[in-house]
Amino acid sequence: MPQKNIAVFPFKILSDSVRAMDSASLRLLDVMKDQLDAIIASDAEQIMHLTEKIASAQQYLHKMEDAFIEELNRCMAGFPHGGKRITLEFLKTVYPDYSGYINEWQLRIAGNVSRLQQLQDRLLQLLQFARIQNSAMMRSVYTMGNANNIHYRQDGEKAGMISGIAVNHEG
Amino acid sequence: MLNAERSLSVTSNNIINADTPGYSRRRVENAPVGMQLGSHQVGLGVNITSIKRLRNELTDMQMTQKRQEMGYMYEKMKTFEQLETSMASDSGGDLDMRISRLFDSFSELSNDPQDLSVRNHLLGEASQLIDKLGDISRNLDRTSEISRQNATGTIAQINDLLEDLASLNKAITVSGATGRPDHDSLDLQVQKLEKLSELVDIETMTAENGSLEVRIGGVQILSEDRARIILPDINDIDKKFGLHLENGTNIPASGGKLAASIEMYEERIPDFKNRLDLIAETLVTEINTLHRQGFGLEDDQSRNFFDPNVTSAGTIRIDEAIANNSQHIAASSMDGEAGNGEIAMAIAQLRSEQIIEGRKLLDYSVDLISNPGSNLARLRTAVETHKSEIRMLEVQQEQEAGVNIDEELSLMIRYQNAYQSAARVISSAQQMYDTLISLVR
Repeated sequence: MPQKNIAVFPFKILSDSVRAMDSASLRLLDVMKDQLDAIIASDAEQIMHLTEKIASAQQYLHKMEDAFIEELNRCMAGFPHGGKRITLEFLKTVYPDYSGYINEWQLRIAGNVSRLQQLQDRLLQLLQFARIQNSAMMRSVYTMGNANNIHYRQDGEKAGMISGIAVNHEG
Repeated sequence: MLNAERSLSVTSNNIINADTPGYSRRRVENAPVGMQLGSHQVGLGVNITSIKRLRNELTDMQMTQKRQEMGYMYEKMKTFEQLETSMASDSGGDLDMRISRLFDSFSELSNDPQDLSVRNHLLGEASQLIDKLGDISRNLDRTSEISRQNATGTIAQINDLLEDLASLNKAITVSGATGRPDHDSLDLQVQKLEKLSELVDIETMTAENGSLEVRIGGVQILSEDRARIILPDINDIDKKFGLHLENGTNIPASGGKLAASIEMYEERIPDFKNRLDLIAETLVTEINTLHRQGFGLEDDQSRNFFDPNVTSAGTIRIDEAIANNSQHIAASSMDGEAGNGEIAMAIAQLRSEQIIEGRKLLDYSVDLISNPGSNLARLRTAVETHKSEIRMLEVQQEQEAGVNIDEELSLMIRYQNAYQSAARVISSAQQMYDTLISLVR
C-alpha cells in the first residue's frame, strides 16, 4: 500500500480540477438561463444560437469531468477499492485528515449538479410545451379551410389549401 | 401534457370550423393578401386575420388552462406549507427524534433497570412523544378544517363571478342587438372568465348574440342572464366534499383552486392522518406486546405500557398504573430479578425492526414528516415551469402574424426545429450529471 504524506497537500491538481468544474458548471448554467429567456421570447434564431453554445459548454464541462475522474483515480492508485467506482466518499476514508476539503468539494459539485438538473428539467418541460403548442398550431394552419383560402380551380371545382407550398401549380 | 394536446386539437378544430362573431377583442383587420399569376397562384393569400385569430384563440385557451393549473398548484402549496410547519420543526423536536429518544430511554433502562431516575426519564420521553403525536394530529385536523373552509369560500367566489357574468351577458346581448358592441362589458367578461378559470375547470361557449354559456363538469351553470347557484355537499365524517345545484344535480367539478382544496380535504390530509395513527397504533401494539411479558420492581403483575383502549395519535396515552408509578415499568424478563433488563432491551431493539408496513418505525416517520416538504419542492418547480410557459404564451400573443400562411408555416417549422434540437442537446447532458453525482456519493 502506498504511503501517505500528509505534510504536503496531495490534492492540488484535484482541487484545481474541482474549481475548473465549478466555473464550467456556472458557465453552462448561465447559457441555459439565456436559453430559457430565448424560448420564452419565442426567438428561434437565438434558440439555435444558444443551443450551440450549450453544446460547447457541455462539452467543456464533460472534459473537466474526465480530467477530475482521471486525477481522482490517480490519487487513489494502489489503494484497494474492491473493484467499485472510486468516489469522493472513498477518498475521505483513505485521507480522513482532508475530509474537510473533500466535504467542501462534495457540496460544491452536488450543488452545481442539482442546479443544472433543475434548470435542465425546467427547460425540457418548457420545450416540450412549446413543441406541442407549435405543432398544434401547425396542424391547424395546414388544415385551415375558410372562406379566405378556398379558391376555384380552372375546371371550376372549389378547392382548399392543402399545403404550405409557396408557389402552387394550378389545374 | 397529453390532455393538453388533445384539448388543443379539439379547440383548434373548433376554431377552424366555427365562426365566432361573439369574440369581440378589438384587433387590426387586414385585407387578404395573395395574387393569381396565370395558372400559378403565388402565396395562398390567406387572410392574415385568420392566422392571427387562430393563434390568439389557441394561446388564450392555453392561458386559461395554465392559469387553472396555477390556481390548483398555489392552493396545494399553501396547504403543504401548513402541513410542513405542523410536521417538522426547527427546534429539533420532530416526531422521528421523539420516537428515537423513547427507544434510547428503554436502552438506558436495560443497562440500569433499578434506577428510578432512568425510569422517570423514560416516562418523560414517552409523554413528550405522546404530546408530539397529539400536536400533529390536532394540526392536521385544523388544516383539514381550513381546506374545507377554503373550498366553501371558493364556491362562494364562483357563485359571485357567475352572477357578474350573467349581468354582463345581459349588457352584451342588449348592446349587440343595437349593432354597437359593448367593448367594455366584453373586456370585463374576459377578466371575470380568467378569474373563474383559476377557481375551477370550466367550458365556455359564445352564442351568436354574444352571450356566454358556462359549464362545469358538463353541467350548464350559466346561460343568457341566468346563473345557477352551486351548493357544497359536505360529509365531515367520511371527508367527502361534493357540489350540487339547487335542483339536486351533482356537479363533477375538477381543476383549479377548488379541486386542490377538495383533494387536500378528501385525500391528502386523511392520508397523513391515517399514517400518523398507524405510527401511534404500532407503538402501542408492539411495545405493549413485549411489555406484558415483563415484570416491574414491585410485583409480578403483567401490564401494558400504553393504554390499549386508545391507539390513535390524538388519544394515545401511557397506561394509568405506569404513569402513576414508574416502578411498574417492566424491564425484567424474570419476576424478582430487579437487575434484569432484557424486556427493556427487546423494546429498545424494536427501533431496528421492520414493524410498520414492512419498514422501520423511524424510517416511516421520517418519510411522513418530510412528505409535505418534498411535495412543496416539487410544486415550486412546477409553478416556476408554468410561469415560464405563461410568459411564453404572453409573448406569442403580442407577436405579429406572418403576411401569409406560407410565411407563417415556415416560421413554425423553424420553431419546431429549434425546439427539437435544443431539447436533444440539453437532455444529452443527463449522463454527465449522473456520473458527477455518483462520484460525490
